[in-house]
Amino acid sequence: MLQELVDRSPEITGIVLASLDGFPLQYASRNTIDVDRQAAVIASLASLAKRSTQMVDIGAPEEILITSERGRMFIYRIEDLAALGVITAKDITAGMILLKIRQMLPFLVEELRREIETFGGRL
Amino acid sequence: MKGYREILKDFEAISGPIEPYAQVLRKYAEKLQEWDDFFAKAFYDRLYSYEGTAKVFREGEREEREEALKIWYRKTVSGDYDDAYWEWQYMGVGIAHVARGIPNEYMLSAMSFVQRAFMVKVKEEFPPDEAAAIYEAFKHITDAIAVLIAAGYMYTYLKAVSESTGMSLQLIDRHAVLVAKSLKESR
Repeated sequence: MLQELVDRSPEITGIVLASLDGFPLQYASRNTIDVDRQAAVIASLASLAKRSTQMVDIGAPEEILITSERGRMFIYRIEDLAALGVITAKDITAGMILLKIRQMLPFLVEELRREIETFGGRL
Repeated sequence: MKGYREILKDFEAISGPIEPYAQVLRKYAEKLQEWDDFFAKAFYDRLYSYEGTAKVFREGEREEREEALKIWYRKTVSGDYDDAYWEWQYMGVGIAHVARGIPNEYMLSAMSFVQRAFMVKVKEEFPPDEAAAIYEAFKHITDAIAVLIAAGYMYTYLKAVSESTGMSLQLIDRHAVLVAKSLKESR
């Protein structure tokens, strides 16, 4: 699923799906990345965002956007199942990317739940 | 993270049971407890004489610290340990050290000093065979305590990071493993 999204979205350079304890579950990338470290960092950012929004009582975070010098990163906490990091070029139409990710999320949730059932309750 | 009972169980499996050594200390407790003033003075003379440990203390608190150490020492050489005692070593002392920024290397160095000072004192005061048995008992018990304090320190530290960042202990472990692997590869 992730590879398919990268293939049909030239503005996306990579996607990493991580378990909440920081292990890579799936990834697709146009560039070489240290997926182990990236997965742990994405899970951490998702945790930090959740804790931060809890502290100011604004509900669970829907997404985190990091804009850097040469790109952007969108991070999502997918329920209490996983964290997703999507890396893109900087000059993108953010709305289009958000739409694609949000369309993909329900399918990812479904896939994750199937895997949890298959692997006996944990990813 | 393990509780103190599990840590003590591991300690006893690896290093040896606590009770036989506690019995030795119980036998000599009355005499050993008389040394509380000597230990409190020797301990804080040493810590106040080194810049790294001296800066941990607040102005004018030496007397209070000495009294606290005397309580710890008397209880430790009593040979009577209940759950509250071990819990105090694990969480109470561990938390206090994190709160004051006293790292484990200071704690372990200070415990080494206490053990050596005890050895010198016990050799002065008892015949060689008895002195060896008493020292061995004190060393074993204070080693168990050092293990608990070190584990309590680590637990408190990790819990603080986990609580403030929302990262689970498993996720923090994952980072540690990945960074350790990377450090190992770069050596």
